Amino acid sequence: MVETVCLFSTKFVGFVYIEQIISKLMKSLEKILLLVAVVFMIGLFSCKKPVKEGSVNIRITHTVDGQPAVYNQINYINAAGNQYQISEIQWFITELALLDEANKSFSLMGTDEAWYIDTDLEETMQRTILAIPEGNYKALEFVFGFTEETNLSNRFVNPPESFMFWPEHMGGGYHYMKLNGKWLNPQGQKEPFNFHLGIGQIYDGEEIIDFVHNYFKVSLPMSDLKIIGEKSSNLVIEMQIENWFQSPNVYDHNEWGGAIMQKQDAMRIAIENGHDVFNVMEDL
Amino acid sequence: MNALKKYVGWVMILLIVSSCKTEQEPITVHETTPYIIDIPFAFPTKLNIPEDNPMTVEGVELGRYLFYDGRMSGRTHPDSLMSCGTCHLQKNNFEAGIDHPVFTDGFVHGINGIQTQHVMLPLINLVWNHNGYGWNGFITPDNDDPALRNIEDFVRIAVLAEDEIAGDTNRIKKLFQNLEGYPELFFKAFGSDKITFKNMERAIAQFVRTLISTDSRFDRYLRGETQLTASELNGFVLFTTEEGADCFHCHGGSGNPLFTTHLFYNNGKDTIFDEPMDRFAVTGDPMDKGAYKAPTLRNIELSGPYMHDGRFATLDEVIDFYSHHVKSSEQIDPLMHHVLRGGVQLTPPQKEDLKAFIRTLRDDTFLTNPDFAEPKKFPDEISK
Repeated sequence: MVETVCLFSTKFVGFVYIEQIISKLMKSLEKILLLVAVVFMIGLFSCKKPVKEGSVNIRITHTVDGQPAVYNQINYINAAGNQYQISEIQWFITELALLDEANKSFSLMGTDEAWYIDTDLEETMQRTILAIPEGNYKALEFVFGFTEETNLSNRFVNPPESFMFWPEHMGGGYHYMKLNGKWLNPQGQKEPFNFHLGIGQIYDGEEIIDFVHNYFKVSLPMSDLKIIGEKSSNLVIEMQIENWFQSPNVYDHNEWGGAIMQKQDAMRIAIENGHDVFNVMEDL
Repeated sequence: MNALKKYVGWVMILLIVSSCKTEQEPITVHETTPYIIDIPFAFPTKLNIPEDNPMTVEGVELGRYLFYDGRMSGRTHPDSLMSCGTCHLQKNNFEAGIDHPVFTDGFVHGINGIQTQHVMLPLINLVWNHNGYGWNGFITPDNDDPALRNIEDFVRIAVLAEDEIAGDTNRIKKLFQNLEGYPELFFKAFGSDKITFKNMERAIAQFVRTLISTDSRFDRYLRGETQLTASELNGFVLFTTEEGADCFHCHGGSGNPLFTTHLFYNNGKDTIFDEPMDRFAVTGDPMDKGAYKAPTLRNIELSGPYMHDGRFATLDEVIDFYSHHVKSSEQIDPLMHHVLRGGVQLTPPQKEDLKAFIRTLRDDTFLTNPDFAEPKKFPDEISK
């Protein structure tokens, strides 16, 4: 009898204890559920709407006097009066970006990316960039060549980019551009020129005492590029080749000769002329 | 009683399940071992390996045998043996070289005594060539003709060409099918002991792709493992400056350690272009007349004679040509900006310095690597 009463009592007390625990848990659960509901409601009304994104196709063209460049024919006369032809052009764009109306820059390529353009390789002449926030953009910007930070030797190990290397003792890194062609010299002979731009050297006699990073930043205003969500816009970046040779400096092949990688004065002139070499327009 | 029924029931279930298993015959699975190419710093990471011929240890092993087995001519008479290795000597950069024991001055002729149209190009670092094989690049991955796309096709051409091995593929297959050891090697490499010529091409191509040179003195200098002499360093500066010898635009340098672009240039050897296998023959572009591939300069001191027609026997002659004898034409490549002066006009000491630098591109590790050497015994000889 006593054992039965003890057993019953133990069980009864156990049940009461368990009941109390469950009751406390239920109250906590109610609080938790209430908290979750409040947070959800706040989130529901404060969440921003997803940003719509569009894309842009960018094509590169090379022109002379407003017309698409025709290669390997003495077709052109520059500001110095040199009759010349173009054979091929290879160059780099880095830090390509769009500038919006609030002057905020939206990058179109990663910091470790470079766009290599080669007139012998059709596939390098255009790019499609996705995931651009919808909105109005007023300028296209890029770096012609590489900044000091990005012009690093052995950055590219695969061709064709690796073929653009600039020798180490001349500054290293890469050519910003190789524009090759021929001009008629005063003797009427066709003479090759290599209009190559990259890191310049300052010489003291035959010794190199300093380097000059000849890259420059390009900002091309646009009349309201509108990026619309889930739609594609089309742009053309134009290199106006004749402008490398004319303003503010008249560049004369007869003066500088066929090779300028070791002539910082020639490269400086070219870079100063670069301010109006590039143009951007809608691709119709 | 109920417990007994349950027990019996479980035992019966177990017996039924275990009796469902059947005896399985062992399955022979053909497995190959991937051959991994170790790519040094600054060398390209993109390799020209076709998808239908991945590199395997077994394929490379077989390819090495076939590369050197003179019975690739389809013949067994000692006077009629000819293989890739007959002409492509490892000690000479896998070219003939001007001291070839058979081919005088390095001008190669095939088994029928017919001299080849061009002199050879070295079989070195070809796995990094995406711009076409041959002096005019007619073998290229984007060739419309699927039979002219990669090294495999070059093997077939060499075996069949009248001015090379002049073989017969059926005869060759039959011969090797009956050589002890070879069918087994084909099975290991390709999963079938029935020898096909396609698989012979594949095996040799795999071996050729392993012929990699990246350990010259200049490579070790770049890695900080050795020093160059003053003459060699001055030669390096001449090599990489436009006002020096300006070799680097076509022949690479520290930023392009292949020491070639594998592209094609008219370098001013001639003014009349009537040779039918220049780059123009491939592209049809008149500006490509007289243009040929700029070969690698790695181990170049061993792989004369030089230029597509072997007109120069020595490096001195080549340097002299580029210094004083470059000829202008409508097709001269614009990179030859010094053409109207006849060339880069190096002085005799500069020529010696340039040559000294070029000689630092010699890679004795490659030239003596036993993995690339002729096997001491062929498969049918191993068991004897």
